[in-house]
Amino acid sequence: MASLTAWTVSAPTCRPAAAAKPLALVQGQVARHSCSVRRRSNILLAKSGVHVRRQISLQVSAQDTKTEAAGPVNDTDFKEKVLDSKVPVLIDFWAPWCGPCRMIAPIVDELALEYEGKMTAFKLNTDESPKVATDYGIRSIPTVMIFKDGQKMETVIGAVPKSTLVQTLEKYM
Amino acid sequence: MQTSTATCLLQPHPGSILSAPRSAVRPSRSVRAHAKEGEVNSKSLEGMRKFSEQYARRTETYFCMDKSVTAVVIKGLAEHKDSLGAPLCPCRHYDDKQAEAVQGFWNCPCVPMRERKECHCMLFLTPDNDFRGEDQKISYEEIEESTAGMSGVQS
Repeated sequence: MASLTAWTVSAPTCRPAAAAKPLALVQGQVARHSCSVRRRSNILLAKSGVHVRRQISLQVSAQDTKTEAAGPVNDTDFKEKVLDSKVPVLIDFWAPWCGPCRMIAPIVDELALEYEGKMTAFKLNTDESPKVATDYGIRSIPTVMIFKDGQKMETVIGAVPKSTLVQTLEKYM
Repeated sequence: MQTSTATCLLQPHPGSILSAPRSAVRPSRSVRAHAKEGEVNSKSLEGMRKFSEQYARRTETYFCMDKSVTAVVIKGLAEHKDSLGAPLCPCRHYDDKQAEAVQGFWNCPCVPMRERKECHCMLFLTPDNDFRGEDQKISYEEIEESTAGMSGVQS
């Protein structure tokens, strides 16, 4: 499922890749678009059906219920909450008027609950805490980062499915 | 005028795609005065709504299957139009929003969208995108409804 992330991951990843071509041919599809990564994810999605769509759609509306398992972090308490943390930390960098951020926020809340005790998750509003966002080179939003022992370990860009975040997190558990 | 001097200083190299005319990047004084945090001028919102519909039709792209994503982005664009004078992409972090609005690369429709139909904000989705819906239309009411209670700060 990892390649599902490809389509949401920001533009630079979207390049023609020779490896994807045979895959498309196996499926008997004609390459209509320049982005082969997207084609590949389409095929995977076709297999998993509409399920993924539904799941994400539900996740979006779930945010309205405001289950805030992942609390806020800002420029002031970033060191204390993130850099000095004894357990790995997941940070969701978001902005108020960013549509796709609404898709990833409920997933981050779910992960905060599922990994309680083993990992902490926070949300950082890049408008309110521009210093941290700039220090860590945040550009595209949403961006999720994983920190361990005060070090940035991973960066995931875009509204990716939960499975991608789980896979990334598991490496540091 | 002061505005034009500032604009000239930040103009990209002539001939680059960035030098495409992107006029009116500075808001008028009156618009700016009314653009408080999270408050969106209804005229700007209607302007961005119409632009989004027209641009989707023209580029044969579709809105997200979850229209609340579309609504939030359109409102974010309108908010930037009010506060910065240009519809700067709300799905990016900038070191200096005003300078970015003047420079224009990320003003909607941004360069990646114009060149490759890539909108990471998920406002304009190509037909092959798994998250695209069937609509190229969104009503003013839909936008207001989806963004009700949002005052620029998402809780």
